[in-house]
Formats: sequence, structure tokens, C-alpha cells
Amino acid sequence: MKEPGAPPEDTLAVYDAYRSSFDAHLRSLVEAIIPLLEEFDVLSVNTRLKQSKSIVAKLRRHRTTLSTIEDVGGCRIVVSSMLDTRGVIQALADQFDIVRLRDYQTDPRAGYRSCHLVGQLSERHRVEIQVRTEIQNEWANLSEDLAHRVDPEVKYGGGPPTLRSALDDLSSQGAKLDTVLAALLDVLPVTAAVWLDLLVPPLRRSSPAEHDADFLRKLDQLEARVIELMRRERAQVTSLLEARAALRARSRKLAHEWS
Amino acid sequence: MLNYFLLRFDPQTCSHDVTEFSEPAEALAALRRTEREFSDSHEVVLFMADSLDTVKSTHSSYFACAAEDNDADQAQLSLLDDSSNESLESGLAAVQAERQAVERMLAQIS
Repeated sequence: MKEPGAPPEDTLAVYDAYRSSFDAHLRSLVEAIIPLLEEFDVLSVNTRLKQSKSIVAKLRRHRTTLSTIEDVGGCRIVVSSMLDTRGVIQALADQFDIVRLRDYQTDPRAGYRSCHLVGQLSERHRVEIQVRTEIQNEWANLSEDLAHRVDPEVKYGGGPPTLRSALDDLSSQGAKLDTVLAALLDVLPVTAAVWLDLLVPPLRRSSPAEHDADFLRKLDQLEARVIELMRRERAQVTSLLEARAALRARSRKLAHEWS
Repeated sequence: MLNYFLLRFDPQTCSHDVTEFSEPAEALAALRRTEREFSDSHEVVLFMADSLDTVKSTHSSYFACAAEDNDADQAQLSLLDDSSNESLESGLAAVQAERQAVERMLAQIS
């Protein structure tokens, strides 16, 4: 059934042919990304082609031409932490011609947090690459789900006030967790447990001449502090995991409340 | 190995249907056919990914209605409040301070 006001069939065929021409470029993009990302904690990578009706709506909304739409082909990369986000973006910039970066992590849009890059894959093919943390991805999908089921305005910062407020709160909580997680990972290039194994024993085995009482006392103090550091690190990781699970539970509760 | 997953999502009933393809031409033809038949009432999206699980995680909004409520969630809810955020931030500061103290001791001892 053809929607009233829809473009003629031959116009739709042009849109479709253009959209189909993205397929090979998207496949090459993902195949190039996968090995590139082995050094980062990447949870998932996939691509999607924009729906015809969304292309038509965007052309009408912006009164623009097909080749200026930058998300006919899209790629989404979900990573563990904001440290991975930064690393992945740098790796993409080294490998591809990135013509635009929109950082919604530091400048969120109606609670939405992510980084959007536009890559020029050929003269006629620009694709949008979204890089986001798992927490950001879950919030974005919750927002999308509620936009489907409750009110499309939810995606644009609107919707029922109580729902809006709960979503904004979850976005803020998620941002705090992401920040703490990134900061913790940043100070833990080497964990205290590794220090304990690699640093203290060689010091104990060092030259006997240095093994005076003062040296041994300092070494004992150092070992105690590293053990305390290890305890605090473990406690912090546990707290983070609990807060992460709680955030996920609150998101699901909100989704069920509005179902 | 990348495959295609053609998703047909009905926002009215919050139900979905997914068909998997390995060949690009078949997937693109199916996308055209399905859009022609259902795009007025459905969302029709073609994904490329290594598995359907990947699509379910990156685009979970299309699969949200199929997700079951989790009783364990209730136990977790009380953990997320302002005080837990504060304790996370103070915990991080404690780790950073302890690490600096250890680094100072190491500098003295070695």
C-alpha cells in the first residue's frame, strides 16, 4: 500500500539504488574496524541502512538532496568505557577520512550521549559512525523504546513530564558512572595486585647490604600500603559493578512502568 | 563472518520479526520487498553484524517488549541513589590518594 504523498516509484527506485550502493562500503568499513579495535574493549559493531521513509522524511524536513544525507549508511560501535571511546575515535581518525565529529558525550542532547563521526568512504558515500559506551547505548535504546511506545517527542527532549524527568535523571546517573569508571581505569594501568607481585619481591631480594632494619621496615610499610590500595581498588570495582546493575534495573523498571 | 538481519518492527504491538541472510543481493531485495509491503505500518531496517545477539544489544529498543522482567532487578534498585554516587566518587578519591602514597614510598625506597 502506497502512502499518500509518497514519492513516485521511479524516485523511490533512485533512493533505493543509492542506499544499496552503501552496502559494500559498510562491509569494508566493518571489516577494517574489527582488527583495528582489538586493542580496545569493544562490545559490538554493526551497520544499518536508513529506512526509505526516513530518507524521504529527512529530505522533506531539510529540503535537501540525497547526497547530503550523512546517515543513509550508519555504523554503531559500543565500547565498555569512555577511555575506549577516545581510543576508538583516534584509531578511526588514523584509518579513515573523518570529516566531522559531534561529541554528545560532553555536550548531551536531551539526555542523549554518544560521539558521532562522519566518515567519507568515497566521493559519494559519507557514513555516520556512532561510538558510545554500553551505559550510553542502553539509555539511548531506552529512550528510543519509549519514543516508539509512549511519545515520539521523548527522542527530542519532550514527552510526559514524569517520564522526561526520570529519563534525564537516568542519563545523569549514567554519565556519573561512566566518568567514575573512566577515571578508575585511568589510574589503574597497573593494578595494585600486579605491583604486589612484581615490585615488592624483587626489592626483598635486592642486595643484602641494603637489608638493614630501616630498609626492611620501609619495605613492610610499602607492602602494607599496596595491600590497602588493592583492597580499595577491589571495593571500588565492586561498588561500580553494583551501581551499574542498579542503573540497568532502574532503566528496566521505567520501561515496564510505561508499557 | 558478517550476515544480514532484516528486522520488521510493529510499533503498535511492539512485536518484531527478523530474517537472516548471508548474500547481500538477497538481503537488499528482501529489504525493498518488505518496505514496499509494510513501511506504512512498520519499521523496516537492514542490519549487518556478526550475529543477531549483536543487533539485539546495539539496537535493543526493537527487542525491548520481548525482554522479561527480572525479579533480581528489585534487589538492585535500592543501590542506585545519590549516596551511592557520592560513595563512588569518594571511593575513587581514596584509591587515587592511596596510589599516590604508594608511589611516594616507592620513590623513597628504590
